[in-house]
Amino acid sequence: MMTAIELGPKSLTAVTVKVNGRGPEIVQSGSVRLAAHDADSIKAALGSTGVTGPKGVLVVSRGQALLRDLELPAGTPDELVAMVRFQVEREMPLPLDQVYYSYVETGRSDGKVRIQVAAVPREILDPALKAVEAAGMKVSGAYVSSFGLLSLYGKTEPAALVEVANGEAEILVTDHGRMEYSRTAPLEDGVHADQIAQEIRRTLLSYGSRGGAREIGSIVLAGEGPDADALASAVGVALERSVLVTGPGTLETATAAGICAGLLRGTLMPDLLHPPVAARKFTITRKHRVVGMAALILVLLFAWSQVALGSKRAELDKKRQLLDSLKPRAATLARTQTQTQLANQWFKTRNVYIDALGALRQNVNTNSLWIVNASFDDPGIIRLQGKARDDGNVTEFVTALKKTGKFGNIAIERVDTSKSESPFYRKDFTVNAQLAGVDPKKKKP
Amino acid sequence: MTDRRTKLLALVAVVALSLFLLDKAVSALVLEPWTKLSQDMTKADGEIRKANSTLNSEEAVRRDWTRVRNRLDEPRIPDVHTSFLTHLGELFEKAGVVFDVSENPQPQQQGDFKEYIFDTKFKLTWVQFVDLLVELNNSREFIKILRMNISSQYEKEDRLDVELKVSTIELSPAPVKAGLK
Repeated sequence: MMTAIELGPKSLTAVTVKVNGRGPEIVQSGSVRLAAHDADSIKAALGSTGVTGPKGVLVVSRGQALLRDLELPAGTPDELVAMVRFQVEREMPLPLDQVYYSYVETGRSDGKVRIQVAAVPREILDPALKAVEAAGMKVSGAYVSSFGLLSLYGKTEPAALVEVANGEAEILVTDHGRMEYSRTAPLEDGVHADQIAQEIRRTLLSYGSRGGAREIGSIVLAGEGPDADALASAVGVALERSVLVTGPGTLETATAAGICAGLLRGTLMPDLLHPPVAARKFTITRKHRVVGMAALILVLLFAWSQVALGSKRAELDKKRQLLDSLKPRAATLARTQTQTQLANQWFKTRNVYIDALGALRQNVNTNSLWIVNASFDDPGIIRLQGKARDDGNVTEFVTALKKTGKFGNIAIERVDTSKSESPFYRKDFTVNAQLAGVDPKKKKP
Repeated sequence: MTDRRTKLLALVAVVALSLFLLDKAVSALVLEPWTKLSQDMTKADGEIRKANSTLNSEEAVRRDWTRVRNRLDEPRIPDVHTSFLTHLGELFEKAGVVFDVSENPQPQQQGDFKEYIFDTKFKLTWVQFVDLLVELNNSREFIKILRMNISSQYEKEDRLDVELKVSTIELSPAPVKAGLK
């Protein structure tokens, strides 16, 4: 269902239309006098018509709108938006920021595209929008009444379509479903068939004077019912040709109903509130694919690396847990081992000097050398003091001790001339040694 | 020409910046954590290997310690130092040596052991010295030579002046420090 509201100078017309298997059908409609164009008056008027609903479209009468036909080079929709904007700026008597405008494409041929532009000054539409919305009905679109009239006809043969409502007559010439010509005439003295017939004649003459205009086959009056039939008959008599009527709706409501029916059928009409705009459509190119693939590979690599890191962390955690369970046992055992080794210094390995004593005993040649003093200090430090016949005897003694392999380090500290009066031993010497496998710098446990 | 050059330079700058940022990101998010984890893994592996190596010898260590412990736990009446002095006297007596002994007043803590140190002085012949060494070697007590000073006189070839510092131990585990496991 769709609701349309048309605000005339002194009246409000509202229609709710639905489309069923037999075509468009009016659910509720009405046309009432409007005291003023304010929210309260509109709300009251809407209540009188019985039309309700949360939202609807606003119908702007032809007399308040500017219509232009443009022929532009064929282009993409985005290009058309720019071209239409340029042409509208040139052709409209008002600056662009002071009008609502929209357009529809009505045909293409020979590389050209025909555009029909509808524009309404903001100073007319803004108050109407504000008032209707303040009355409780959200306005979802705004359309010029001519397109409702065109929608009612719905054929491609040339015809003159006539609407008589709100104190004026709109006469529209259509051919091939397009609006070819349109004009309005005020009906200041009320609805008179002769005056309407006269305006139709003028319109047809004006249209016929254009080059290439086809002959108008039929004249159609918008509206159904006794009033419409009577008027059509009278106008037909005045024109001396038949005048048809078309609906749904009465003389007052037919155009608004036409807007609803057209929109429900999906007919393209220029919506003044939602004009076509240049939309930047994103097209996936080869470059995009390559970049996307590279990005995807990077993301996958990153994800893989994080998974691998997570796996490695889990493995490390397991190892740490294992280590935590092993360490205290190992530390206890190492301590026990150390204590055992320490205890063994008092028991199993306590007599480390006995081998050294044996080596000394075997290598001392008492004919040339005499050991006066031998001291053995823990850990394995040996100091020998003695007398020798000459330096060579000391050197031989040290060399012999080295060969035993019992000493890790052995060296002559000094060899001096003896102060004693012994004629046999003329030298005093001191030799320092360490037992093999002993590190004198190592701290005792 | 200038525009093209500017665009080229801008492109090169953007690429260089991107590479720099990518390098930083990869380094911070992947390479450094990976290297750190690898180092930690290597360290953990080494520590596990070391712990396992220690634990592999657990049976032998326990066995050796049990032996030592059993011997240490043997009763030494009335106390360690008196018992040891008595034993020392027996050794010297076997070697036929008369000795003077003095004892360090305070036992020293060595690991889990308390060490008692004794200084002895005596004169003896080579034969007696060899006998004494044999007795010391064959002793079933915990006895360790800390210092041995042997002096010989050319004029008295067969006489040795010996100063011997020996020690024994008693099991006395050191108290565990607070916070240590």
